[in-house]
Amino acid sequence: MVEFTEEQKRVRDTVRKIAEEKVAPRAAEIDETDEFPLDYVDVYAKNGLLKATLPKSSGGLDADTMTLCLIVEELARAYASAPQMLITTGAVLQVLSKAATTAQLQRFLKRLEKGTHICSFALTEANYGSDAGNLQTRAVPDGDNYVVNGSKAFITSGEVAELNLVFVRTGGRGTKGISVIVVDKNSHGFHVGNKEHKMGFAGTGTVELIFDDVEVSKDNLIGKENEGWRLLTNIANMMRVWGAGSTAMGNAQGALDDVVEYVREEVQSGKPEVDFQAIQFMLADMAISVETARSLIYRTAYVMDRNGASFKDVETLVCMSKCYAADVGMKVTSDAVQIVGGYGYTKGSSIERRMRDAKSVQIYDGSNQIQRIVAARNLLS
Amino acid sequence: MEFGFSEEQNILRNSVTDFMEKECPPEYVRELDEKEEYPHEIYGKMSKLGWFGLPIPEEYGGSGLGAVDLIIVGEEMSRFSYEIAAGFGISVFCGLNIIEHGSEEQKKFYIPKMIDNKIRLSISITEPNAGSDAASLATSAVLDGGSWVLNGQKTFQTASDAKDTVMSVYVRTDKDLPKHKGISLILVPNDTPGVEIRRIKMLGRKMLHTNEIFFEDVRVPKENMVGELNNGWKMLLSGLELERLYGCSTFIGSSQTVVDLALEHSKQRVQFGRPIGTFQAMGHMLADMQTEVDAARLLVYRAAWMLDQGMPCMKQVSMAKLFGSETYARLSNQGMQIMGGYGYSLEYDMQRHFRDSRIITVSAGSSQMQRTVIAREMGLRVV
Repeated sequence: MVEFTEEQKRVRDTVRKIAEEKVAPRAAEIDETDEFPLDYVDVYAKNGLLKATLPKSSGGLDADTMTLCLIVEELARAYASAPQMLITTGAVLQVLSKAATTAQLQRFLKRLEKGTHICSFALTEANYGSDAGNLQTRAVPDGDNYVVNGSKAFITSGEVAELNLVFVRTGGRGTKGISVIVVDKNSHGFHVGNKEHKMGFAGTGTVELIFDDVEVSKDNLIGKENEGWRLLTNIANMMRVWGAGSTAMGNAQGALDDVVEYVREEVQSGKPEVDFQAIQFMLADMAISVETARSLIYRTAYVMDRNGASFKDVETLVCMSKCYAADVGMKVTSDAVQIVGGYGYTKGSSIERRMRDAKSVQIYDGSNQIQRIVAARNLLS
Repeated sequence: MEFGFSEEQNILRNSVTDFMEKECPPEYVRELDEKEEYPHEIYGKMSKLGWFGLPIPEEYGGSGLGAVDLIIVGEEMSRFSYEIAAGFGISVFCGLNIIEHGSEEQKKFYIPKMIDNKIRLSISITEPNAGSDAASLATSAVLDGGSWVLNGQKTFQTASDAKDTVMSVYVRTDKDLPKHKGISLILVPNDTPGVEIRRIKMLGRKMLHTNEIFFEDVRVPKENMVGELNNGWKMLLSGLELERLYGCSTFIGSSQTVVDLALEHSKQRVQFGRPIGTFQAMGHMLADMQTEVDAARLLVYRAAWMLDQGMPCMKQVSMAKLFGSETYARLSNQGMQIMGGYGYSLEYDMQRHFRDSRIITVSAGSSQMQRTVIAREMGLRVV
């Protein structure tokens, strides 16, 4: 079933080269400084990766889900934070290419040409995380504009994003009063707030976004008013397989690579560490976990790209992929620390960093608990 | 079967709790963790109450407490700070080792100073090529006139850089004997010329610090050897049960705090119109967490009771270490999951538990080594 097209192989090989040559060597430094890696932006832009989700007619790669999975996996294998800006930008451009008008899309793409191309996906609020359907950031119509007030929290890429896809309340309570608007970072009254001080996932530019009487043209409304929630569930949530899922799995594969290399060289109690069966079995279990996560992700991508399955079946597969890969990522990176011992706990070791980064994937982009809720709901409905 | 504590033990527990509530608020722990500072201040206050002498025999100025007493202290102290409880243990157990094996002069010289917090004691075994296989250590000590001359390198040494610390350094004194038999114990003040201590940046243990130590022609008086020449391995293993059990007690106190923090968050955090703790998945997760803490606690209590009765209990101690450390690490991960983005934020305490707990399944005998010990106690010749 999993046989890649020539195009998919080409993209994967290109990204693998980028990951090895440009991404991996900078990982420890970015982890230390928490600075948004503008050098990654340059490399990604040069290779068209920031526009991967756009159709060729809009200058994109027209990447299918499988290709996106491969891109993110290869980058995360080098450094889990590295693909995050591609995921937020890719998800926003995917929503725009599917739900915005042609005129809107062209206008936004032209705007992005003037900057870094980075977009943020602004949904979460401080008090509305898993319960995003009750978000409170409000957009009130005023002539040709909306006036936006409120704040968003934990917004990945928000530190540098040119355009922010913002979920706002335009109607009544719940998911039926939510709209999606595009807010330019140069808008008056729009502020990038505090950078979230996190345990891991450094360099992702995760910030608070503050809207203080921000006037946004009604031309920036995507789709219909009060129908924003559907854009989230029908389009954006599907990114969880190639976004969070592939991030977790690629990161776990990287940890496995690192630990295998370590174990081959390590000697304890007079014999090579690979000769201890307890270590061998841990390694085998880690490889089994990574491979099953990969298989689930690839199968989900395959099903999505074939367009044959029902929405519900796809959604269930996406939830399972994200949840399972994130749990595997945590377990495998933690076992990697265990095998490497004190050295794996040392700051600056790739394994210690991978474990801290793995944790965030269990939490972000719909926590694993939310994935289980959706999967169970679909099973039972 | 008796699950209660004596009245003295209840008083002991309450006095530790009262002290820690007053002297060790969350802000204090957070600040030391962030600034990566050794907790001198609180140790000074503890020493005024005589705590560093709690398990030390009365004839050397201590209170002569037993194993159960000591784990009560560790459990309560670690509810407030894992690291403060851990650092306390390091000095105290090095002191007990001197009591057990040292000369009368050594006991009279070092022990009162340790109790009065004038010096700290630390232990130094691990080397770059001697981790779980500690008996392979290679740092050498050679007698030259009236001095031992030390050369070599130690790594992953906790708290050895705190001011006025005397390090218990395990060294090789005879290369020709089998590896377990050529090891000795020598006391080396950390400001001795030729000692160079370099901090290793670690994910956790920010207060106590983890270090590499380089010994280059370090000279200490001949009298600094503890016990007999080439008898170090036996000293290293003696008293291990109590030391490990104390470590276990800090895992259960810390684990309880993790559950308490997660529980409080799950009661206060409202999503979908109700506290998230009222969702069955969350409620059950918390129920499992508390069950695991209690199971870990009972393993520790049982082993401590056996030790106080003079029963052999290496297997029970290893089980308590294996399960207790794995529990703290697993629970802090789950606690972070329950707290979501807030758990991952450096502005809340859960991430500190996540960071600090991750090393305890590795250090002081990794989970893998504990399993090997347990399996051997079960009659299996596991290698």
